Amino acid sequence: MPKKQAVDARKAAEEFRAVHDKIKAAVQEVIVGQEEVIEAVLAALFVGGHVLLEGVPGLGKTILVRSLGEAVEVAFSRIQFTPDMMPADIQGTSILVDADGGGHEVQFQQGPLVANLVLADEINRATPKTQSALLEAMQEKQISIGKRTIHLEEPYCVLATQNPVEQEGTYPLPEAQLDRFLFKVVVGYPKEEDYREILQRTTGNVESRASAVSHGKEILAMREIVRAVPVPEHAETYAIHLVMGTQPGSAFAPGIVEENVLLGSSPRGAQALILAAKVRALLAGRFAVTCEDIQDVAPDVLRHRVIINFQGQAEGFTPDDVVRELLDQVSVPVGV
Amino acid sequence: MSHEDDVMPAGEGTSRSTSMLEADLRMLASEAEGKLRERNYEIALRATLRPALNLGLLLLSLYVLLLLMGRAFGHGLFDYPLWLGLALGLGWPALLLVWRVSAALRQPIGRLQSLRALDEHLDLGERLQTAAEFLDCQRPAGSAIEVGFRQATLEDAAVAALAAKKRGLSLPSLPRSEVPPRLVWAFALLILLTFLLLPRIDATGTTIPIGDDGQGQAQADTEEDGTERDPLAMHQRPREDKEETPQVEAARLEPKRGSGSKEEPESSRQSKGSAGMGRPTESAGSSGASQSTGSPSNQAQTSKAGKASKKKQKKRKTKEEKKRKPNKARKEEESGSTVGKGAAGGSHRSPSASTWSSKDQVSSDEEEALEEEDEVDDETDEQEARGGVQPQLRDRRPPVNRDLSIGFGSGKNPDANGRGGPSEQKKSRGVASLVLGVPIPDHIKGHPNPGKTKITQEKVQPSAEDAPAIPAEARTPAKKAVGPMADPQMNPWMRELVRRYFLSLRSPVGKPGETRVPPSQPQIPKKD
Repeated sequence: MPKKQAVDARKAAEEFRAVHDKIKAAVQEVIVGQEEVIEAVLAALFVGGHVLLEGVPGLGKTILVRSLGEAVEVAFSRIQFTPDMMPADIQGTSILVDADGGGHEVQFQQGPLVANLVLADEINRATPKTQSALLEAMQEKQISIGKRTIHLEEPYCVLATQNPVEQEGTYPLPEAQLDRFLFKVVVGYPKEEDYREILQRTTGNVESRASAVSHGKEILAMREIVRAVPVPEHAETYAIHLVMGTQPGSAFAPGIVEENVLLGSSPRGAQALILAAKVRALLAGRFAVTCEDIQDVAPDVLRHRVIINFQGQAEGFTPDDVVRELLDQVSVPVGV
Repeated sequence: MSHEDDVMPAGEGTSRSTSMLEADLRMLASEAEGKLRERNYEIALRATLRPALNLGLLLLSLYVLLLLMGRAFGHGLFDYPLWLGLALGLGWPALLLVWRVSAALRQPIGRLQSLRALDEHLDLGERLQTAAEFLDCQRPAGSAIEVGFRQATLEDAAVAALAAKKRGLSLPSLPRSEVPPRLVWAFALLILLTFLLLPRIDATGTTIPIGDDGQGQAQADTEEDGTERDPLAMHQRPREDKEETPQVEAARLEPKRGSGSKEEPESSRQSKGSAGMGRPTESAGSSGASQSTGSPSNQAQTSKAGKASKKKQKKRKTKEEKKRKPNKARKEEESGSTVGKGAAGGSHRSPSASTWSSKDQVSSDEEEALEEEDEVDDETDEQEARGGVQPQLRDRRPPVNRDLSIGFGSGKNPDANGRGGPSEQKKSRGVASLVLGVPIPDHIKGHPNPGKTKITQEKVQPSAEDAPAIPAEARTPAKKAVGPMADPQMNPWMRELVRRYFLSLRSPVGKPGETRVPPSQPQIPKKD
């Protein structure tokens, strides 16, 4: 019997890798390069988390999310945040419509937040009031409007983007909302060899579109497989030590954290580390999480959960510096 | 198939493959543990060897130093027996080695640690360690697929264990020992020196001073070139010189003065200095601005010759003290100053030369012996030393009194010329004679062009000072807290403004407005 279970597990892992590869290939029909970004977005999709994409304009963030929506064949919506946007604009509101047989009635019109894949473009342009409207949707997968509660259909994933350049007229995301993102991925410029392909695809007559290769139910099944990956004790301990290492005053915090970090990661960071490491382990052909998997996902997971204080900013430290130092200082625990 | 049948009880290992895996892991762990313990022993030994040698070296040096001090002072206060020296020099380092190595051997090495070392060495992706943890795990079984994953992990670990049994754990060799060979040689030489010094101790245990055997004294007296080098003899010589009477001293110096006059023509030979190749001494010895001619220099020279004996009486320095200052003289010669030298001691040198030696000055050993002792102590000597350098002071007469007083003055002025020069009264003619005698000074009273500075000479020996080198250090983050800070909950735009300001200050390019972005981020494009 155990042997059969192992065989089924192996099959499930292979199926997961196959789905992952075909979705990635479909997205890469439109997006050139940016493999790390695509893998991070897919990992978040398979884990049930949300991603914050940060990059300058023109790097294909919006088209990436749109292509993912086309490849997975789920309801996709795009919200372009502006400073005058209200929560009702994204959640939905009651409107007065003509009733059959005359008269008027109030109907609830769902907002763009009600979808499977939500692209929140330039989320930092919205007011904190509007940004907070996303909090419940991202965490609870539901929207509460007055007495009405709308449960959002799974898979539900919010992919937000923000521009690091223009800071005037923007509202940086509060720490509470940042903590709800599984990853914060920095989108960089494409490589030199990718530019030619980008030009050929985007400046011709033919418009590239991603083909639908999966659907929502398959994504949910993949999520079950990911969550079933076991985590050995030493890997769990390592993830805990890493998260505690981001907290000033902790026994595992190195000097750079004590001096330059205002606020460290919450336990959500440890959850994110483990979940992301599970996806990594499956893609690497293993059936259990290792410390190496945790180290690979730590920068994307902890980058937005470490708040640098003024002293650190004056010294020029970035969260990436802190995470890098943390990975060097915190040793892998070894049991006896 | 019931759920209980599907679930494998963790830690019991019911299947044969699981039990075999457990046995393999146990064997691999024990083998790896032994090798790790050996490695720890080797690391501890290498890490302790150098400090142990240093300690032994220090203690043996101390012992040898005490032995030598005992000899120098000639009594047994610093006599220490051989066994104590060996105990200090060899015992403590050995104790240190034993202590460190035993601590390393006693360090516990767990099963998981051993398996992890195997995983890292064979690049097994933590399979062995994970399998061992899963076998020991007491956690309740999860879903079926999770159980399947655990079983799959164990199966992978079994394959990895077979590969590990074949290859085994072969730890890479440690780098070469950091103990420098010279440290070992120094230790050995010091031990040898200790044994060489020990026979000097006689049977009673007292030390034998160096001078008692009669051989050291003779060696100290004999010299290669016959000159005395014995410090004791050198100390005795000044006492002898002090007993000389001034007459004897003058008589002793007479030949030298004569030799000094004979050496007058020698002064006109070519100078040795690099600046004045081929120039005679008189011209080479003076500065360019105040270059004196030959005759005034000679005049000053002859007039000063008679004062040499007086100066010798004033400053009774012995030949030995002069000889003790050869380096001082060399430095003086290289100073290059050429102001008024050669005044004292009947020097034949050009009076334009100062007591500081000039490179261009011709000098002999005798002259140096006579002149090096002279110092410009008071103003008289200083002015004499200048000699004919300054024509304004050549006659050494005060400046002419040009006071124009009412009346006929107190006395006749020898410088009066009746033309309004240095005279008592100007003889006026014509309309000017009708003007009442009002004292109108025709020039400002004062010394003619005395200058703003007064040049004084003093002999200063340059002394070098040791300045410690400032080690270069990389700038590190602040070690201490900044202190009480205001509430950072300011407006987001203000916070970002502050952030950008500080980042621009820290920008490596140094241009204002440029922010430092991490390598993964693209450069911030400039706004139009």
